Amino acid sequence: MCGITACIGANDSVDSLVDGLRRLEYRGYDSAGIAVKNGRGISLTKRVGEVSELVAAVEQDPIYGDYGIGHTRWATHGGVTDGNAHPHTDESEHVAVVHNGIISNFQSLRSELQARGHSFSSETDTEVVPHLIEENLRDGATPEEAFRAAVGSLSGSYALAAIIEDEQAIFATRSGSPLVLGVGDGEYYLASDVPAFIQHTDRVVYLHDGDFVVTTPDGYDITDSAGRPVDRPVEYIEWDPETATKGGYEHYMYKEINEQPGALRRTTQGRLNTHTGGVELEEFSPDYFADVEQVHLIAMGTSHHAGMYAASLLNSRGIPAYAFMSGEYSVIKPPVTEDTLVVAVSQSGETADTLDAVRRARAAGARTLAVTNVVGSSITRECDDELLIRAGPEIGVAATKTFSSQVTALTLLTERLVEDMSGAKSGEARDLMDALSRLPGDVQEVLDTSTARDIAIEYEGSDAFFFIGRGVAHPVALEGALKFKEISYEHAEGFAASELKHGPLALVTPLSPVFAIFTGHEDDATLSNVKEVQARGAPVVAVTSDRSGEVTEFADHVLSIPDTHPDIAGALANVQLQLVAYHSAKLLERPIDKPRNLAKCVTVE
Amino acid sequence: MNDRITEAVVLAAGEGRRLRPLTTFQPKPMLPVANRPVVEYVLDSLFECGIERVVVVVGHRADRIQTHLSATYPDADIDFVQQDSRLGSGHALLQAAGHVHGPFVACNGDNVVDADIVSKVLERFSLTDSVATIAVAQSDTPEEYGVVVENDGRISDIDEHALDSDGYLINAGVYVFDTTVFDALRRIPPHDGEMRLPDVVHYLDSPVTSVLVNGNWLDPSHPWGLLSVTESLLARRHASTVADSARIHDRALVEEPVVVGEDCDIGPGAVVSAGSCLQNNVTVGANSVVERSILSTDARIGAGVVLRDSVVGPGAYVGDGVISPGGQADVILEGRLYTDRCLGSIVGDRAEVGANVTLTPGSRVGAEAVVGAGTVLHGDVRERVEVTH
Repeated sequence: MCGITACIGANDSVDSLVDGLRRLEYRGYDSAGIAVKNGRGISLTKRVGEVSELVAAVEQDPIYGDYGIGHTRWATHGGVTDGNAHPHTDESEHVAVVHNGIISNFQSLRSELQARGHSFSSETDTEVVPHLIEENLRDGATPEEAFRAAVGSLSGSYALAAIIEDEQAIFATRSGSPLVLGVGDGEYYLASDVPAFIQHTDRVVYLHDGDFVVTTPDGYDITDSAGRPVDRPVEYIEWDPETATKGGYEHYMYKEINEQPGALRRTTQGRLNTHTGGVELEEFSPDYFADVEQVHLIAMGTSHHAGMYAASLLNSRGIPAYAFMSGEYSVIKPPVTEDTLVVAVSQSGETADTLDAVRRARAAGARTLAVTNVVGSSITRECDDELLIRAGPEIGVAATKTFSSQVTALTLLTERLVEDMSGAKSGEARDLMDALSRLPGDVQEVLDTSTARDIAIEYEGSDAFFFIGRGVAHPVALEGALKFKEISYEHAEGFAASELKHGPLALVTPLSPVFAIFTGHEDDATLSNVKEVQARGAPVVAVTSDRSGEVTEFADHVLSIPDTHPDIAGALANVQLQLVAYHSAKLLERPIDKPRNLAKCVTVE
Repeated sequence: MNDRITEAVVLAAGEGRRLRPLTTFQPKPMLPVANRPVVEYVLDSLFECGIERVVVVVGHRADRIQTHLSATYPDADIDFVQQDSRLGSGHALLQAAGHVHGPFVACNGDNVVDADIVSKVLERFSLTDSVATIAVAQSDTPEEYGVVVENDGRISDIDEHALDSDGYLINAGVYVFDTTVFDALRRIPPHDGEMRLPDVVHYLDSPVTSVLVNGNWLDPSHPWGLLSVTESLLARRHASTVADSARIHDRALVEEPVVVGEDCDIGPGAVVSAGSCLQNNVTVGANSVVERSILSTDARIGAGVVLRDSVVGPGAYVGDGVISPGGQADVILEGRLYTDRCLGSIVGDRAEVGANVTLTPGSRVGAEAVVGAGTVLHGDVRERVEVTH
């Protein structure tokens, strides 16, 4: 899991490469490096640490080049050292390569190369590639032939970019890891993701697995593995690159929390009719889902919590629905039929576990639907259909606005499924659509009036933080805890409120505040759980729309949310919990946008 | 001095107390005229005049303006600096010290300023050997602005609180300064706890020049100004703009010119008259009449409502049968009486106005306040207060 960049045709490539890496830091930030080609050969700079370390190194000891490649790393094979940082080269430094993914047969390739006299300077899987290319060159191959032949011997997942000898070109390919081509005026870019070059061009070619691309200052050629030309359309990026900058905020995460009203407006725009209570998803023809018998929601992390949320909504409307972690899906192999709709939820659309699960579902004959934020991502190509959540780019590693938009898009999908499968709208469709249309304003109200910072100050230094809820509030409790632990590094756990007395209650002490989420559905039961933890001395923070009733009376603190439909209340409560996590992490001075050991989208299994 | 000026500072930290309760949760530069926040008109004019980098000084409700501008101008070079304490317009500009690197344009983020004005000030500055150039405009209400005392294009004084004015030129709030202004600002003694930008003319070393501007300079500093500025801008545009995603019932009447934003919903029999603006996701119930009014994002207007010359804030709810008849009102803002102003009522963010309430001209409902059904409301309801008759 890493980010790669390449550029050719621009005047000096160093700035473009470094700038691109900075925008890809969400993909990994253990170490970073660039290799550029100039009259004297390949110049290489790489450093352990964030891209800023690389910037400092380049400023101190400048390098120049007309074209080059760059990399920001999230270590999988080999520790975090300068030597393991990319780009990697052969012994002669005539070939430099950057790689995202995992080469699964690198051990055997490495042994063979060593047996033939190659010496390795890193522990990475990647380093086999420059050596293979170099060997092919020695055998008389042209740079392109050498690159193709080297790639031909690789197994696993990879996006690769290489510069080779004096050929004024960048050679790249992908298989299982993302790679996009940016088409400018006389300048071309390759990167793991669009933000790397969006400030230079909004024209993008989404490469497919197995595509090879050779870019020169004069243009680019895309071919398949056999060398036959393939035609890939140039697409225009519609979503604005707003989040490429922090817009005056200290952290992307806080910026993105504040962007939620706008993101949710885009998610629902033109998709709901409050008069009829109807959902208008023009992606799907009438009765498109009439034959569906059951729904599987597959996802990881925050997206999995959104999947659980949707499963709860579907089940309560009589549709059999199950949320699976996609990493487990291929292991437990739940029965799939042609009447199964598999909904794959992934912010980036590149999550390796989820892509793998989708392939399994397709092979078993299921219908597949991608719910994602990224246009043209791998998952949209792997699935039969797609539903875009339109949240706009998200840079903070801790997902915030995309969870809200996922839940909203999945709620729309839920109502559509009910309509198609049962032939009629659910009884509460109208109220639900009304609540959804109010949601952006309700989220704004939470942002305007939240006292989450006071709560964070009150409970700073606690031993642990627990989150409980039932129904749709259960996944919100899990999400609240996930957000809290990932950016504050404090111990945080979420539970179904009903689960509490079956074990977790043993952990509850006066130094473990419990956040209880009330949606207006089965609140009395959750209130009993609150009383149970209070009896053990734990302080309780209620997240509720209740203003003066029993909940407010019993809770030690209240985080208010506007009164809304119980099915939507969970999404609103989540915004309060995002703010609690953010302010708690800020008090602890954590690197909120780049929590240790984590990366934005996990493209390795 | 021959270098083209490419930097600007926009002062957008003020609270806009005279526009309460609309500014409880939003800074004044974010208030909508013709469905766009005022500050967008300012930025558009600056960019049109060749400005490449804008430093926005933010303070009150900074998150709103930051989120909005970075989404609206994704490619623009915009920096935000915080004014943490509200110590006046001079202090606000001082926050930009170190963020601009040569002569720059400075202007208020809460006035609609034409590009023409900016270019005139830039031109005058570049043709004279001054350290500052200030735009002045003619006004028939000079007492509301800083009155400029000038002689042959040179400014000797700006009196922000001239009560008995004999001049008629006022400070239009668009300036070009060189960076010596920051030292001059530091020399201004505070006045009533505020450091006022116009006072800087006394502390600059070299001549301060002025330029008379006749372009469009519109100041929505009062609630009625918000309505009249909107009306002027709509009239300039001549045509209505209705978003594709808006639903307008076949039997609703929408006159020109109006603006109707995304996802709005106008019910059967409703009439939306010229000069009105509906931001995004506004609902207007059956048979309601909206005349020369501004309905902010997420506002919900029930059935059979009459709103004239009124402003409804974001997320506010106006119940069935509410009447805000509009007309002339006497209004007290910040301790000052304004007589015979054309103003219906103002409903703050997320306030709830119950069924059949009468909002008499000049009445204001605070943010998140609740007005019980059937009340006849005169004057003000404070924030988060519940009123019943």
